[in-house]
Amino acid sequence: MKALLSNLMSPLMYMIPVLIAVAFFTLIERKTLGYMQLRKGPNIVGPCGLLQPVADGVKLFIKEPVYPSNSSTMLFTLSPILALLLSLSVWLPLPLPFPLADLNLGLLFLISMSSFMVYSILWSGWASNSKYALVGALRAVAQTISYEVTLGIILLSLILFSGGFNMQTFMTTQEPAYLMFSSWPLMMMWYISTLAETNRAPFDLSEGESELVSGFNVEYAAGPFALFFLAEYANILMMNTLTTILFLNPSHINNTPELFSLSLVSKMMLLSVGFLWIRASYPRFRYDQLMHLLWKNFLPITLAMCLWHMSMPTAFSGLPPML
Amino acid sequence: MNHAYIRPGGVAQDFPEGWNTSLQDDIPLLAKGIKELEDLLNENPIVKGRMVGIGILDLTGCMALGITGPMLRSAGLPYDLRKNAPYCGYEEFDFDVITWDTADAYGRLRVRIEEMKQSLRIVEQCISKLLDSPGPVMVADKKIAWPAQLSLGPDGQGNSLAHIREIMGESMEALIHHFKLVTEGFRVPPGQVYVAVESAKGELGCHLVSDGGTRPYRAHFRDPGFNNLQAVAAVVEGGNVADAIVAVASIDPVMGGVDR
Repeated sequence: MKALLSNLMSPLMYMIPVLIAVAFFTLIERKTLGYMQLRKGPNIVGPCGLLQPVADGVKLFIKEPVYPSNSSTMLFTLSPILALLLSLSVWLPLPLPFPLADLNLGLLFLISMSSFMVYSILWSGWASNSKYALVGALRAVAQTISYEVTLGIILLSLILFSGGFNMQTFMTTQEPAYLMFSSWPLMMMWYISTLAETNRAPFDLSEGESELVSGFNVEYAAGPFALFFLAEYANILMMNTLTTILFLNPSHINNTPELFSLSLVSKMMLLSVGFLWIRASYPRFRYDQLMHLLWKNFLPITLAMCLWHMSMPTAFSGLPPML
Repeated sequence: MNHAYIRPGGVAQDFPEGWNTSLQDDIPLLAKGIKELEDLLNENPIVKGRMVGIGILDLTGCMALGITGPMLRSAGLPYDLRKNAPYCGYEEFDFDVITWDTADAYGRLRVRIEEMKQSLRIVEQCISKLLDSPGPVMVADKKIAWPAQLSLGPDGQGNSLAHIREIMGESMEALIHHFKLVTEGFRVPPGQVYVAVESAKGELGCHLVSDGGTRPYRAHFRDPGFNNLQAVAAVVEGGNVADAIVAVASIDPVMGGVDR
């Protein structure tokens, strides 16, 4: 009984705040985009629009979920559930500052879960039995798996600096200085790759351009659409938290370690607002230009930087202890 | 401010109080906004990647399809009806006709943004000209003139009470004129006319044929969007679907005019 309660309460302790954060992040997005476009965002529903996410949530969950009769129901129902499940479970090994599961292979877990998210896009596009959804899903899948290549290689370089896949070691690694200062080209490419990985503008052709409808989630109605929506925003917040942990870790606060979470979350929110700023400013990439960017621009640089990160510590006898 | 402001004989009503100060306050804001747009768009690699070399329609193609407006000017021909066939006093204003040499979507973007700046120049010259010599608001002949002294009434719209009192209470002439104008209109001598203006999308023309009555025998509007849209087939040939979207957007049709 005690085991059941603790196994139930512990995940909920991080999942519920993440979901609340996601809900208000949608509001921040609409307000930020609004102010950047010289208009106010939603400000009618609550004071300054604070109840807008509540209204959106209520609307989405009381609408009737529509299932196309020619769709494959098992996959159609399963994909949004899978998407949200993965987006929430991927927060498991993140040290905030103490992770729920201190995995020795935390980063590997993260990469494998992100790769698994591709399936939810693929199955939703396939199961919708609609050519727009299928084309949108295929393009989104190709984009996601392409950008995971650079994500993996950048992580490899950072692991070589840090000494292991465990995310807590990144705290120790960055006590003298942020990894942003030593690996700033990698951080730039990592930030852009996370933009592409979460299908955000200017890489959002799976949502925006595919015939002006939502691409792979065009056939989804209310509840399942809300699940995709929440999964996407939870993904964005998770990627930004990961960026902060990897490159901007606030572990240098030794006198007041209680401020770790505050510092982490502030940096994460600044990076997320950067995502929104980029969305408001840049037009969308064409699909082949996006692929070109990765395979012909990012990948050679990341491979070269990985080589540098391998050889430089060895040359200066500065390899970290590999745990 | 809608299209009924410009009516036969002049304009509907005079400017409100303080029009020139509020305009002169807004012009620097607009100039700043245009500068911000330019900084954001002109050298942006994503914009250039999406628009350079897309939707090319060179000068022969434009002439064959009857394209006017920024599309034609992006192909290099400095054809602007405000200079070639001036109307409404445009010959007295000093502005440049913007052309670009690559006939692609990027050229049309640059042409349109530069034209915005030229429009601001024209507005400034208009303000000084109107302040010097205001001129009449509506022609004096009461049988044609249909002025409107609009003000907000209790229902939020409509003619001012003074105007209504004049029509209904004071002057029989005004009542008769108003009645005849609203129900019948005025007679136009028989004949036909085609007049074109340079609108933002191209040449907007009006062809009117009159048989001497109060209604036109035929009225046809040459909408620039309709003619420019015929270029879609020529412009998207050989390109990607994503390029088709950019190309059609650079043609900039107004679908309401196309339907017309």
